[in-house]
Amino acid sequence: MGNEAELLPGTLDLLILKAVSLGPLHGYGVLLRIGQISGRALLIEQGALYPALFRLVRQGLLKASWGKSDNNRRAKFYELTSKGRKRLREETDGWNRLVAAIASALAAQPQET
Amino acid sequence: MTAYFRSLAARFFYRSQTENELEEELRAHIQLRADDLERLGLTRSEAERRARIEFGGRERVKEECREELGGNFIDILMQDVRFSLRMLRKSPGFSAVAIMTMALCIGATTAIFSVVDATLLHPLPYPHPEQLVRITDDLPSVGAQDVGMSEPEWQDLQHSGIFEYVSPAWYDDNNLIMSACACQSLDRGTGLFCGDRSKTGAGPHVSACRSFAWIYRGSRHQRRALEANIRK
Repeated sequence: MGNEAELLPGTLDLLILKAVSLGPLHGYGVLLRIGQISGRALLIEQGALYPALFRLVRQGLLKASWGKSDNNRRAKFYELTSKGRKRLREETDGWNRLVAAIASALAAQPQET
Repeated sequence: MTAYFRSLAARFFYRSQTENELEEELRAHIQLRADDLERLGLTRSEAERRARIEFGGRERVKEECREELGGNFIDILMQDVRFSLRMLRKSPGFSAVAIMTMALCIGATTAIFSVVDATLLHPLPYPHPEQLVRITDDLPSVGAQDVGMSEPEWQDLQHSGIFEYVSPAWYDDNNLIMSACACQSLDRGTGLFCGDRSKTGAGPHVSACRSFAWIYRGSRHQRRALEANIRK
């Protein structure tokens, strides 16, 4: 607690794309990976993940296939398609621009006119 | 696009398979979570219970997943259609009145538009087409209809004062050369011939007749060209 950040609307898809871009993952693995790469600051509600995964598959950004997990459980694994990789790049750029703009706006000091 | 069609197929053609896979995927998630909790020291049954609680309402999640499949709007549309049909069946009296009202309105509107279209938007290419009538001769005593007219009879009609002008008229198929449009074209058309009014009083000989009005079965473009030609 304390250092948790609230997820902005629309950022879940971006986080999933990023998590999956580091290697194919099953749904639970996506949650763990997002927790890990965000330094435990971002916690995703477990139930909200699956609709987002279905949406990304429908949009052709992810593709799914059944496989075995590390502890030998059958699970559905998701990986990035080339379209998904492209989308991740675009969304990352867009996000960085937004963050830079907001940061610079918030850092503004009162100026003599 | 292919991903969307695959998603669409998952909804409509492999529905039971999609359902099973969804169920299995969520179950796997809970098992994986339980594995982790077990590693933290919980008993297996306690770990599974905790995992299920953490996950929350599984049916709700499933429903949200289904909604994310392609073609959700088709499902919603079908639900709406089914619902409306049920409602219509529930109150047949109201349905009958509503359907009759709509049928009547559509019929009346179409009829009015047909008249407006024919008289105002595409009137025939001569003045007062609404005053134009076709006179036929019937002989009811012998059961004959439209037997044609003798010349004295025609003259009688002409001088009766009822009509401004009476002329013999007939349809004929002809080859038409349309030079009014940029490209000269030859076409086969059906024309309605009738006598020129300057020849009033003359006998109804073919040679005395000049075509001035055509009802031409062709494209609108061709008809325009033809009308333009006739006006010259």
